Amino acid sequence: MGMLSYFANPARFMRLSNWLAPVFYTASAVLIVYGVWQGLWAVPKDEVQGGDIMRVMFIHVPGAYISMAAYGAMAVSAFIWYVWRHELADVAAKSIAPLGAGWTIICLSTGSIWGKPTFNTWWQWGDARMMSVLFLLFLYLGYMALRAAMDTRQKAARASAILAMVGILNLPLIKFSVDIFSSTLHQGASVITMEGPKMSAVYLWPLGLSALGHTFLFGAMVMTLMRAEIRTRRAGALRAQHLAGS
Amino acid sequence: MDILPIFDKNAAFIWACYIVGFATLFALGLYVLIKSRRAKAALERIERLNSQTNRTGE
Repeated sequence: MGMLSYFANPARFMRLSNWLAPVFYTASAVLIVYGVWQGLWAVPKDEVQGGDIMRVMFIHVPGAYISMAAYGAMAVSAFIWYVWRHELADVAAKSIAPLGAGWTIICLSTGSIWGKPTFNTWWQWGDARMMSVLFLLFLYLGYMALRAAMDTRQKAARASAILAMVGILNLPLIKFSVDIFSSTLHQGASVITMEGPKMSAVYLWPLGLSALGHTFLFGAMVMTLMRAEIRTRRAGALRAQHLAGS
Repeated sequence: MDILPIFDKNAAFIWACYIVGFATLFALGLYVLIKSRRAKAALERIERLNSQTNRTGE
């Protein structure tokens, strides 16, 4: 709890993120460019996975991973705010939502384009993986809409925190949908499995580094949005102070 | 090495995925940049206003 309070200090966060965000942006640029170079030029095509189309995984898999990880981070932040009322946790949850939605759009759109040459369809309404990820996008959009609909910041934080915490039940559904439901077109897990990765190292390493690049970019963007939200709240407090004084 | 890689019959789908993916990342970056600049400008404006009021008050 002590450590949580230490990191929940906005002034300390502003000092830390002032140098950490640029470091994250730089690392993400290097790793994402490396991932694109590997995906489009360096790695050999895999005939087992449909030939060159498997190169899409270097953008699709990081999109899928970030969309789920972001929701997990948002739900944990919401929980911390709900239990301990740390304002910075609410700032974090609010900042994560639009970014998580963005990466979910990357996952859904690239998955749909990948599906056309592979399964001969852009979309399958009965597919558990596709539908659970679409539901994830609706959770992000619902979270943002709920916040915007509330007339005070406290009400927005409370209502959206409950939605974020309940919605986390969707994450295991997404992960295990390909194992539980037989009616899915999506391939089974090939990176995170009980037996370890099933993918060849020639694809696994570039994919891992590309995903790391997306993680750094997501982290840097969250920090930038959090800094903006802290400044907005500070401006609101100063405006109220100014009006009270005049 | 070619400037642009040569793919099999699915080249259009591969390029479409990368274009859509990076266009979304670009849009997110733009959104973050605009939000950040607006918040910074709004805070600076109210801080300037407050310091002017304080000086007048003195």
